[in-house]
Amino acid sequence: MTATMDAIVASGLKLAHGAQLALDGVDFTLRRGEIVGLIGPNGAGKSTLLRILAGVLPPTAGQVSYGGRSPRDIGRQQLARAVAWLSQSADSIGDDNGAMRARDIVALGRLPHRRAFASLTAADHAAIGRAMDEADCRQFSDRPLNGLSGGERVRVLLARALAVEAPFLLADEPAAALDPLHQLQVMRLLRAKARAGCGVLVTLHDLALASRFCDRLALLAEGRKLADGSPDAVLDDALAARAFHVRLAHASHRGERYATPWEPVNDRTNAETEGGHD
Amino acid sequence: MIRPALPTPPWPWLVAVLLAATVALTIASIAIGYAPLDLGAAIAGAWSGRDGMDALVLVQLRLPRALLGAFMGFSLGVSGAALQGLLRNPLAEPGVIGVSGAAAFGAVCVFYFGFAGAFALALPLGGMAGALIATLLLFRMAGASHSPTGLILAGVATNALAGAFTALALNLSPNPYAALEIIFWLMGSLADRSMAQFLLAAPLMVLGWIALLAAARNLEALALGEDTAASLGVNLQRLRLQLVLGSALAVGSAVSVTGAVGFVGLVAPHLMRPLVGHRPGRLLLVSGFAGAMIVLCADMAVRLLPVRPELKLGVMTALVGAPFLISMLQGRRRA
Repeated sequence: MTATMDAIVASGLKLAHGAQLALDGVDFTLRRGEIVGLIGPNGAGKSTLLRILAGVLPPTAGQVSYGGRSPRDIGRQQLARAVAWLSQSADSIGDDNGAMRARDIVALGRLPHRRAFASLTAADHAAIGRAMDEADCRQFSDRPLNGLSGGERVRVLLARALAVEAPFLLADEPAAALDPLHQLQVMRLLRAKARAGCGVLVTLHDLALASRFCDRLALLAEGRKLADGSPDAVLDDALAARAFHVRLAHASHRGERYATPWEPVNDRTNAETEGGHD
Repeated sequence: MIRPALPTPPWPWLVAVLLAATVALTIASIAIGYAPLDLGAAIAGAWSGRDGMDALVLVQLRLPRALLGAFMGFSLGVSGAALQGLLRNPLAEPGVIGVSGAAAFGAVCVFYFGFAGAFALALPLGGMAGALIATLLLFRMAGASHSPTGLILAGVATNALAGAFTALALNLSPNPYAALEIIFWLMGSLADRSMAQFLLAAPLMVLGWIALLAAARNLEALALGEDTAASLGVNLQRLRLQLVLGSALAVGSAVSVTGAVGFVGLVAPHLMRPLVGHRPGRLLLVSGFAGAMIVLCADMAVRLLPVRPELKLGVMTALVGAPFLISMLQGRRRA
């Protein structure tokens, strides 16, 4: 089933919130083996696109196909096995459930693989252990989730998504709450997942991480896709000015190119220093 | 703040101990009563079909009271845990969805129109009709709403409606004795319930338990939020239907026989949560046992306390439950 699932293809996606369009005709393809960064300003529709691709939110118009099949064809459980989704925040975990232990949270990722009323198998336990090692959170196994720091919590929730061991992984802002070391670890992990054959789509605000670690970037603004291509092509000055209203600084270090936001477009105070970088 | 890891007892042991304790309390409840009862003789009598005095007391009075207590308590506990998990709200209890209020109103109607004496099962059947109508109303109002808030608001509205009609029935009651009868029934009690009433309600309660316990795993996924649960393949619509219908069956049929008994469904899950590592799925079964034990203890207490007339069970659980709730809220503030 999932072996033949080579790509998630979305076409003409629209999502209406009342009169407002959160997404307005977005086409997007995620193939296995690539890591794609989804970038754009706040409210661009990044999370919405991720939720639609994960099958969590039905689009108002347009369709998503998984290896050529519709979600209805595939069925809930198969889709859950094929696409893992990491939500943006841990806030949705209530007071009481927040005291669940990290390992029990990660074990929830095995739900799509479990047969009714069967307990966790050895394979499930192995997957849980692997996921916790990959997300560097095995040391919190027995700690309650609400006793962990924000960044530690994100790593546990990432492990939950990894434990699904799905061919596609959609992660919404996995790096936002992390310290620099764990940002790098998470991005390396996601890139390694892609190299191992997983299709990884990750929303990022950090353009340096996006440009450095992603094979391809898709730029969203106001519900439309402005660009989709190599990081160099997408993080172009005109596009950055249009989408983010910033000018970027481009640089390279040890042969890896990256971009970082430098100044607001209409910022006059730093105008004279322009051109002093690169 | 770093919280220490709390050791939790092994799951099979926990279930076995709670089951044994519930059975022991049920037997204790059978043994305790106003008239001295030679249990051995009573059981022997009932078994051989000789309807001696002891056997009659056992089968007609003690047995239905103890069994009904255990079953009703289990229903309240398991429904409380299910609704706290579904609504992800620590203050949820079987009362919030309005079904118990409506079941009570259904029974009040039976009193009001004077059917209570007409045949033995009129009261519970009236209560069940009330619970059924409330459940339909609830789904009509909550509709396809995906948020817990929609369901809570629909429950509040159902409760308000049932409360208003109950007040109306009291207001229009033909004489003070009828009103008093209704008020006493509303307080909830296990006294003077018949085996026939228990046998009518028990299968429905068990059906409700099965629906709730079967949802354990999906309920656990809901701890991460509705969207994450959906991404794990959980059918949210079906889960919601299963939990609300299961609670309505279990609690609606229990309340139809006993009257509304508060706080058990709220308190039982909170007592048990640390023992299952706060896992919402595992909480269901153990909360059921805790609920059964609370009701059995409370019902033994009303019989043993030297207060006459006997306190109503609902009064007893409220007297113990409310201070517990207050101390829980204070503990929460400190945490």
